[in-house]
Amino acid sequence: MSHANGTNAAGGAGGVESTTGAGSHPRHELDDVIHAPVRLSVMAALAVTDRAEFRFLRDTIEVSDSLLSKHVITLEEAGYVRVEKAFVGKRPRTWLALTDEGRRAFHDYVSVLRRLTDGSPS
Amino acid sequence: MKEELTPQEALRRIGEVDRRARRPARVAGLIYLIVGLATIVYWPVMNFGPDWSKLTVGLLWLLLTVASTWYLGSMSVEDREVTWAGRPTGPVTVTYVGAVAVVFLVGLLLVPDDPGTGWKAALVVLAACASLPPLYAAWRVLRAAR
Repeated sequence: MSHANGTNAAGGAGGVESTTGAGSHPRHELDDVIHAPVRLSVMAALAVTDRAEFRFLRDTIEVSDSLLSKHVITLEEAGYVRVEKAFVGKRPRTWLALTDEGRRAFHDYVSVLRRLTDGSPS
Repeated sequence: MKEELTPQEALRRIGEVDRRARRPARVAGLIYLIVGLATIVYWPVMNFGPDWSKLTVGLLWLLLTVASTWYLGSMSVEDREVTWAGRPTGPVTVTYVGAVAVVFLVGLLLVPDDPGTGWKAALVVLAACASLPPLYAAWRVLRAAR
């Protein structure tokens, strides 16, 4: 079995090598940007909402503010997530939403996962 | 948080996050359901019940209004169906307010002091009709949030 030489976001024992490039196996189609636990959780949460507040995501995914911020920046830079800041009274609120591209990427990512797991024991 | 995910783990995580992220919308759906059911009980009791029951449902109604307004207003998630149902000029709100106004005015102006079974039945039917907008909203929100 050959493995492509692209960036590996999830490789290692028990994980799936996800690459950005060559190879016909579905695992090569896994999106590196999404295939990381925190970013996957952010994408999954935003996929079922129109938009969600930062603190809701933090509490839902159970991560620290700083870790969530770091991953949100990665998703924002990839064009998958849109960040909007607003004030309610004097309180700042940060809202996050999937972009159309992000929604498409997540949909494709889930399709690849389903192809990978079809017929394999869970 | 574990840094490596197998496809199975990734799908499991998606399912778990999906469930948690939909929870606020499900609660909003249940609030609409409770408001709908409470409407059917509230108006007949307010018109025909003894004084103690009027006071009780009045207080419960006030509590329900405050709690549901607070919850829906402070939701940290925007859900398409909840937003649609809660729009002040949307069909659910407008129809509900209109229907409740009709029930209120019928109870106030038309129902006699000593109403017969016909009047009581008519008011129950009107209250049931008034409950349809929130019940429809509940159905739409809960169906989408499954």
